Amino acid sequence: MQAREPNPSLTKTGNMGSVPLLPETAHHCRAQADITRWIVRAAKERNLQVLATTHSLETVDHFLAACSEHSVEFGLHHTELKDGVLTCRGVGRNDARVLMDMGVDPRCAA
Amino acid sequence: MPPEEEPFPAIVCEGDTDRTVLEGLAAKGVLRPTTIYPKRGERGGLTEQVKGIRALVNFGARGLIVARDLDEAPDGPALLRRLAHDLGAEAKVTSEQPPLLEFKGCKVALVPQGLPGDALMKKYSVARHAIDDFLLRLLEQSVGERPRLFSDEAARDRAFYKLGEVRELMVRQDYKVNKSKQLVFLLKAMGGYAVSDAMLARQLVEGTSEQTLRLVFKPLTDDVNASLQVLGCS
Repeated sequence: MQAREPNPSLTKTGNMGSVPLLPETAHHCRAQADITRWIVRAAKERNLQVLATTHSLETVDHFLAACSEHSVEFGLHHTELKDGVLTCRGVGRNDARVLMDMGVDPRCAA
Repeated sequence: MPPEEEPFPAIVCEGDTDRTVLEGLAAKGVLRPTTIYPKRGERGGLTEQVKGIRALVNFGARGLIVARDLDEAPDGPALLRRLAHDLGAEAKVTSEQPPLLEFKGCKVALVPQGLPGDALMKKYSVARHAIDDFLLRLLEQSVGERPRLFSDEAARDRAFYKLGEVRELMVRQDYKVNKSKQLVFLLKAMGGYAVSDAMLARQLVEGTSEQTLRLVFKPLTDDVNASLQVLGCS
């Protein structure tokens, strides 16, 4: 099944607005791949930075693949709220690819 | 819901066979359960291991155990220096015994894999030591256990006698036979046991009693336990 292009109004935010994205909700993983590819392509065309949050490893994998395909920068960040302190750690595309290929689950790896 | 936090610290090994052995030992209760990378088969070898360590450290790891075959260095300290060299200028050796280095704020404990000085390795002139040393030892020790390469002690003794003969023939033909991996391969061929090294490792560890595993892998498990202690995991 092919994912439909998102609502055209979402594509007209220019480089000022923010777009709520829920690529992992109730989609077949192939549709997720189509959606993430579309997001990355649209972001590149409009010179946008996209912040996407997810609990889905497949979504991370799709974003990594799409960013590689379109030569777009990618950062993988893990945020954690513990004892009232929010911490964030992150890696770039190359390290993210290595982690995923090693089978590291970035949601819980220390 | 996010998954539970993984046991810490993780062990980063070289490839499939190493991971299979370590996971098997953990499943049998011989080794403390922990996360072992790489979990997938496609990433193996020293270069990929170094990439993996760097990525884990960049992602915030503060303690790692690195399991490496002794085939690239004569002893633990030399292997530790080699690992530090591979990781680059930011890696500093902090202790040779137990082998420990610091890399970008992460403590990296090294577990050298192999059985240098073991009588069986000497008998077959194994000079480049690796995890396969333990498999060779296991094949020699675990008679009657699964997989049944040798049905009884006599069959095992015959196979190891023939192994010596084949090795001699190959050396005379200028083949370099100095790794236990090669000897295990020959034993597999002699026993008609056509499985991959990793599969043989898995079946051997799964099919061997906990008591035998504890005996054969004691040098390795002692090193892993020492590494866990030095990383603050009692």
